[in-house]
Amino acid sequence: MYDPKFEKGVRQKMEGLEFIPSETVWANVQKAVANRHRRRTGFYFWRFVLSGVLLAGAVAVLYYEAKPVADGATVKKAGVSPAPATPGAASVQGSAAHATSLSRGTATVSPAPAGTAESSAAAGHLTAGARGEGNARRAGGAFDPTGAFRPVGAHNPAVAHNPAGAHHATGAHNSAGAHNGTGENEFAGADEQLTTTASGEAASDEAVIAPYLYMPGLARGQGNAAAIKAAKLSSKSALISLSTIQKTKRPWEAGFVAGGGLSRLNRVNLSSNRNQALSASLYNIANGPTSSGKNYVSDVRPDVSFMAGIYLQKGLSSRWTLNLGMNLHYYSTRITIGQPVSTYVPVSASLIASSLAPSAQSATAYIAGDKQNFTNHYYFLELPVNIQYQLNKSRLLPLFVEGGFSLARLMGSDALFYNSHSGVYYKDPAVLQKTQLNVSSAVMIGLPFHGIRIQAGPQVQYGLTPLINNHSQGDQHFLYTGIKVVIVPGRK
Amino acid sequence: MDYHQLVKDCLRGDPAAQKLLYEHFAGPMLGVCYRYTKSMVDAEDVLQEGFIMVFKNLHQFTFTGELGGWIRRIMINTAINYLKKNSRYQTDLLFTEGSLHPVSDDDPEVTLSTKELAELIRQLPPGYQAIFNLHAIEGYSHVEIGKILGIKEGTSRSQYARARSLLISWIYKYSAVNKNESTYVRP
Repeated sequence: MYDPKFEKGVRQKMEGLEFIPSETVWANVQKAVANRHRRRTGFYFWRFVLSGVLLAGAVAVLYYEAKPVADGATVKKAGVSPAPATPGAASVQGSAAHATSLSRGTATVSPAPAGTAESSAAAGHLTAGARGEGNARRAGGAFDPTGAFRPVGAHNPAVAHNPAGAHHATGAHNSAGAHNGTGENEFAGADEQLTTTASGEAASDEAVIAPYLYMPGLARGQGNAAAIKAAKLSSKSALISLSTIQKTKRPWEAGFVAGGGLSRLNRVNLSSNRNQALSASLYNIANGPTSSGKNYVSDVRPDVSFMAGIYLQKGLSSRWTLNLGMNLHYYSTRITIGQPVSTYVPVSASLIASSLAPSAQSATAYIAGDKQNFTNHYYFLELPVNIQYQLNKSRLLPLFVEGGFSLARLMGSDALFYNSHSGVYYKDPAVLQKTQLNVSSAVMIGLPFHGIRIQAGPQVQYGLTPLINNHSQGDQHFLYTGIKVVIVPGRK
Repeated sequence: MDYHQLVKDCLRGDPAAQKLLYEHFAGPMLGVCYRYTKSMVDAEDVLQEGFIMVFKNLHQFTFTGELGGWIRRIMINTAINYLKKNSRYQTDLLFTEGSLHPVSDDDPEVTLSTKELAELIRQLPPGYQAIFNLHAIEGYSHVEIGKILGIKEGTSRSQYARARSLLISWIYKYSAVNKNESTYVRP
């Protein structure tokens, strides 16, 4: 119908069509290329910073979570303590200070010689450390409506004469303890109640609770009566607070997770588009002959895979546990390739890959063949979310089954891709799906070891997202099988 | 020019090499982009996006073909994507029956200059324009065009026949007007 001469004529004419683009085009291109380079550099930097911050956060959580409950209560009490004492505060004397002592309802407080108490109270407070300070506060500072440390030492030689910070309420080496009649001092009564929850040195600490939970800001400006009332309430709330802390049985716990095994590429949907997949540029699992006919395309063989990361768990009930984490997961597969066809050393797609596999970066393309083995490396940052169920109630060998999913982001890869048209393997990180959704399941056995809870067991993980973003090449999914180990340091 | 070395230098991030590559291919590639679009501004937009894609994917160039051909394919793909994305071109890319033109068997000799012929091609409706460019100039088959544009092979074939007839009629008109008035009249 058509005379091809017309098309030929048009084609010849159009071959010579040229224009000079404006300067802005190159400026924009240059800007975009430079920005892309900067973005990549920034990404590499921030991904390590982010990982470091999260790791440090997890370690911090682990550190504080591992502390005993009583210590936690003490920390809390210290947090609400009034303003620190100063030697200058200790120099306050006279009726005001005396009235403060009287406000405790204890006429037994005997004023000490002010001159000696000034120096000794200050010294006692300053050298006794946290506990001495606490004692000093308990001895009278808590009843000061101004919230500042009052010169209790001036009227209470107990603190002044107790530089080691021995507790006021213990009374053995404390003359003020003798002054504090147990029947007269309701706070001492409260202290006794609290001391029933602890023993030894801890009992002394617990006895400090009531004044420490007293909120100086609340009492400030309300007079002594209000201060006393607040102190009464605080001593009661101290009991509630302590019991509340002790009842918290399912806090977040941090630990570490590691695992090792084999990773392989699982290929699906080949039956429907096999011909298309084979004719297109295949990834390295293609199994047909190349155009040259001499070389062959390698199968993809499984290779080692391992992962490590941080782990957070929270008990939802006696049997159910929620697990979160962040892992760096390394996958690898092995292929056989021929000679390199280029000597170009590319800018690595991954800092990790370039440092670990420099030999793999020596060429960008290889012909298909059986001259050498090549390992494809993939590095993923994974954020797993799992639900764990305890199958039995055994404390010796508890059995768990868990399932969940993880969101993974490709951090780097030096994998080779096979191009059936050119018959070469080449590196092309752009064809990889960088964000992956995986499902995983594991059966774990609990192994308590010197207070450290260890869980270990087989794990299977499957990538729901195809590895390659070109569907014509057939969907390929990562399949990881291995052993997973979780270590959660126990509470002291 | 040693394209091997030029590509290597570009991949190393050498700005001078990148500019050299751009300057070497920008002129003819702008001609390609110009044929697919309706204005020089759009053509430069396509050229810009195309060269960004070139530098982004340069590591994929395996030296098995000509660098110019590889860049040209990127430009064509970028241009087609631009037409699909840009609302000004979308309506005419629907290939509705209402916009069809009659087919003729005329076979004029192409005596117009390169730029005159390019101008006439650019006056074609975008759907016709894309198919005519892809088939008559780039040499794509109708099967390939169908895949690229997401239409049936038969549609591509018929659209091309109509585009060709329309262009030939314009060439006649333009030649006639040019003989009489020696000025260009928009068809």
